[in-house]
Amino acid sequence: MTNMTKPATDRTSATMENNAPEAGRTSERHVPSLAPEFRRDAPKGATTAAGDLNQETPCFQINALNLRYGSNHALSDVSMMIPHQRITAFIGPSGCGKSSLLRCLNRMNDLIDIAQISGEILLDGQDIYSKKVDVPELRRRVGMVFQKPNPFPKSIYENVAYGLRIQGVRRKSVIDEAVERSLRKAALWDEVKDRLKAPAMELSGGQQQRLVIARAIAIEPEVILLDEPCSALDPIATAKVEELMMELKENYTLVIVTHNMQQAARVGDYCAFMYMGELIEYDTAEVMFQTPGKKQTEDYITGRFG
Amino acid sequence: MSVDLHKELVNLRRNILNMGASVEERVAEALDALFSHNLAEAQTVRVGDDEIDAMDLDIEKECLRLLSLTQPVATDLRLILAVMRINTDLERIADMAKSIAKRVIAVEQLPGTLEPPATLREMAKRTRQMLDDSIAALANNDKSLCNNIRRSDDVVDDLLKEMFAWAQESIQEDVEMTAFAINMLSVARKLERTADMATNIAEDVLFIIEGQVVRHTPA
Repeated sequence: MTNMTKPATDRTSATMENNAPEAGRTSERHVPSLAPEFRRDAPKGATTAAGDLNQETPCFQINALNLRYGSNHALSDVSMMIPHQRITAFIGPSGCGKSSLLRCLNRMNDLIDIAQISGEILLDGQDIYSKKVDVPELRRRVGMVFQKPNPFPKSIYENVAYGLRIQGVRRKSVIDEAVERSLRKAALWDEVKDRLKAPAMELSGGQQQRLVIARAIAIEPEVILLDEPCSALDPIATAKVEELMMELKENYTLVIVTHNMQQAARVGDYCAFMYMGELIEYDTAEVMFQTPGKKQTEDYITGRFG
Repeated sequence: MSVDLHKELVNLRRNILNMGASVEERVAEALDALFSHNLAEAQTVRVGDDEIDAMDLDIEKECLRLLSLTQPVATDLRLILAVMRINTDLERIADMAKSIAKRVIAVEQLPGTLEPPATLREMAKRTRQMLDDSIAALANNDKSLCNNIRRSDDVVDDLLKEMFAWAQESIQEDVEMTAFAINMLSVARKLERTADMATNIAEDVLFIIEGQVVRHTPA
C-alpha cells in the first residue's frame, strides 16, 4: 500500500507543485491549528485523486477504433485514453457498444469469426493488434471478470492456482504463497482460509465473484476488465466487490462495464458514456454525474432517454 | 413507494415559484404600508407569516423525500439542491418583510406624519425589482436576468451607505428625529439583506442552469 509505483509518484509530485502557490497562501496563515489530514494541501494517500485526464499516465490509448460484426457497425471511430491505475467505467444503454469495446481490450472479439476491426489500441505504447503480439500473453496481462461468476469445477485453491500451473509453475511453496496473496487481495482469504480444498461451487455468488477476481490477479495482470461484475450479486456482495475494486486500483488498472449508474458514479474515477457505437462523452465521474457537457449524456443519466 | 422523479420535479418547481410569489407579495405589502402610512396593512404583514413557514417546511420535506428515494444526478440534483437553498432565502425574505412591517407600526406611533427619504424609496424600488426578477429568472431559467441581479446588488449596497449618511444628518439637525431616523435605517438594512438574498437566488438559478457555483465571485 505504501510503496508507490513510479507513475503514481510522478503524478503526486506534479499535482503538489501545481497546488503549491495556493497552499502557501491559504493554509499556513489561516488554519495553522488544523490537523494535517484536514489541511487543504494535505497529500491524499498514496495516489492523488483523479481529476484531469491529461495529467494521467496512459494505460490504453485507443485510436479511431471501428468494430463490425458483419453488417452491424458496433463501434464507430472510438478514440480515448484509459488511464493507468484508475477505474474507468463504461455506461450506456444495451447494445451501445460498451461491452464490445471492453472485449477489444484483450482481443476477446478475435473469438468471433465475423468481427472485423480497424484502428489501433496501444497498451503501454504497443499495438495489441499487431501480428507480433502473443495473444495468450496479452490476456495474461489483461484479465477479465464476467457478469456471472464462472469458477472452475475445482477446489477454491485450484481455481486460484490454475493460471500459475498453466504457466508451468511447479513449486508448491510458490503456488501456496500466490494463492494466499491473491485471495487476500481479493478480500476473500479470511472467509475461505480454513476450507481451501472445498469445491468453489459451494461459495456464495459474491464469494465466487471475488474468487474469480483472485484467479485473475494470481497471474499478476496489469489490467482487469470487469463486465457487469455485480449484476448477479446482492447489495452486500456488491458493496464488497466495489470496495475491492477501489483497493485493487492501487496496483491495477480497472475498466468496468456497468448498467448500474450509481455504481459507475461510486467507483469510477472516469466515466465514458456510449451510445449506438459512439463514444459520446468521457470525463471524470464527477463531471459526468454533476455537469455533463452533452445533452445525450444528461438525458441518459437522468433517465430521460427515449 | 414509487416516485416519478420528473413529474415530482415539475411540482417542486411549481411549489417554490408559488412560495416566491407569496413572498414577493409580502414584501410589496410591507413597503406599501410604509409609503402609504397604512397601519392596518402593516399589522397584516406582521402577523401573517405562518403560510410561508408552512411552505418552507413542505418544500424541505419534499426535497428530502426526492433525495432519499430517487438518486437524482446532474440537472435534477442541482435543481433539488438549489430549491433547498432558495427555500431558505425566501423564508428569510418573508421574515424581513415582517421586520419592516414592525418598523412601520413603530413609525406610525410617532407624532406627526413623517415621509421616508427618497433614498429609501429608491432602495425599495430596486430591491423589489431584484426580488421579482430573481423569481422570474427561476421560472424561465433566464441567465442574463441572473447576471443583471448580481450587478444591481452593488447599487443597493451604495444606497444603504447613503441612508447611513442621511440618518446621521437628520439626527444632527434635529434630535427629535432620532426615533424616525433609526427606524428608517433599520428598514434600509432589511432591504439590503433582501437584495442580498435575491442575489443568492439568482446565483442558485445560475447553478441550476450551468452547474457552476458563482457565489463569492465578482458579478
